[in-house]
Amino acid sequence: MIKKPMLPNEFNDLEVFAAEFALPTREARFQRRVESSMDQINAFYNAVTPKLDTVISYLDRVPLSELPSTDHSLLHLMLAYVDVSRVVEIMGAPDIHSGFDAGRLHIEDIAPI
Amino acid sequence: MNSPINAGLSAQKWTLQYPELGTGPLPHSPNTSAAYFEKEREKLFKKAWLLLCREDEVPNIGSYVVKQVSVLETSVLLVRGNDGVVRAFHNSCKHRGNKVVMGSGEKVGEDKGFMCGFHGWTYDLQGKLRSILDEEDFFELDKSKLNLKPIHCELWRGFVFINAMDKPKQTLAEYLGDWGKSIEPFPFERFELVNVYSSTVGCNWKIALDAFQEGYHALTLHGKTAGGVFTPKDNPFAHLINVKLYPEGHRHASFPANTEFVPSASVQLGIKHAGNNIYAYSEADASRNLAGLNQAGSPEWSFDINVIFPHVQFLASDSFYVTQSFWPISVDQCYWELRQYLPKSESVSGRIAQQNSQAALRDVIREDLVTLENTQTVLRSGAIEQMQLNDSEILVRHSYKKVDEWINSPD
Repeated sequence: MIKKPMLPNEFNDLEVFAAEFALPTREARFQRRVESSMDQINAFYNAVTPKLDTVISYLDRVPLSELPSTDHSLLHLMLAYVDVSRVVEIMGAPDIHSGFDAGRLHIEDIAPI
Repeated sequence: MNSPINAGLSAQKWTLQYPELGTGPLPHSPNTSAAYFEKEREKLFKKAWLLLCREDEVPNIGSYVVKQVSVLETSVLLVRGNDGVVRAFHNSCKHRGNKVVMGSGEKVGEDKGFMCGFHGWTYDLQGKLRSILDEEDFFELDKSKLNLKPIHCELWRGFVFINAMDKPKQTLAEYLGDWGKSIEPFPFERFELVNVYSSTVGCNWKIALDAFQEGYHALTLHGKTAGGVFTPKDNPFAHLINVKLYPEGHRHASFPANTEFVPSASVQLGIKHAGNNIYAYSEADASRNLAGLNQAGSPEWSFDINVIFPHVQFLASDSFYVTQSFWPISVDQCYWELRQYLPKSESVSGRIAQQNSQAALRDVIREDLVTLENTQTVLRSGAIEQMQLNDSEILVRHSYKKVDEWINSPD
């Protein structure tokens, strides 16, 4: 059985990153970021960056509260993109050098998606 | 652009404007002495107005939250009554003291009243005793004395403050004083809560607070995460560009911004869809200078730090506000909670922009937190007696002085 794509057809060239990065919770996306290699992160970042305006225009066609569930994975992919873009543009490494244990930092996410 | 206003502001020695503070070293003992901690409990935390939460946490009639407030040695039940008024009580049944809303940790709910799960006594949303199971089996009961014991509770701009005294020495408005008046017009309503961060940290609450009352650490600790956004050329160490210390103990300071700093692409994306960002600042003009902010009117301004005495830090700019509470648990333990508020957004692009600020704050906060236990563990022996404070650390100095004043107050 062919696995159903996670992303809308227009963006099927990003589908290769979906399983890895389009995770539904902020916690899962953060964990994926800090566990990824720079190669994986760079590949993802470089693939999405040229399409930013297109993806965002597509997602912005309805308010957040009306975003259909078929577009949720694409939004999760973009939220993951924002997370890893810090790594590429500012930090140079998937995680901060020495910081408070992330496992001890309890985070309650109020945002809807 | 080198701003002459900013150059003048950042060249000042703010500490010298408050000669009563002195400029010498301060002792570490208030952070390591269990005896001092108990004095803080009895003479400061059990007497001051303490910020508990925002009234949004009890939005409807019958909404309640329970907060275990270790430093007050009680559990606080906050409830919105039938008359819409928010009230606070000791979460303790007048029968034999059991928690009316049981369990450890924070509780949230909505109900028409409360029933103690031990012997079934019930109370209404105003804390009044409603019924006692098998009442005839008791002897003389003065039911007028059996309502839930109230804790003084007042609101300011949607924030709920409590006071553990039987008769607070001041109203909340008097306690907040001129600091409160200066911040009152800030448009809190424009922002929405997006995250709550919390952790127990193995350090004195003041060690934790201090880490967030100065920017001297920004270059070193956040060099790789926050970039050069806070250090303009004419102010390379991010000296404060405004400081105001209040007699009630509150304090306020403004931080500089490097308006020539070019934000990275994803931060620019955040700005494009939210108008602004925690880590990028355009020249401060009327649109950025929301009421209560940037009181010196500097064009190279990033955000303001406020501290509501004794233990709440409140950061604000046009692009976010944050509240941080440093709740004492013991001399070397505290409970830290941070609430991040970002501009309200209904669009998907706005949500993506919010994520940029959330992700950045998370990395930076973990850098701030790591120094806290590192500091406390090595101070414990008492072998190192003093700390040295520079002018940029004036808020730290003010904090120790004001805490000490309350500890040593005769009443």
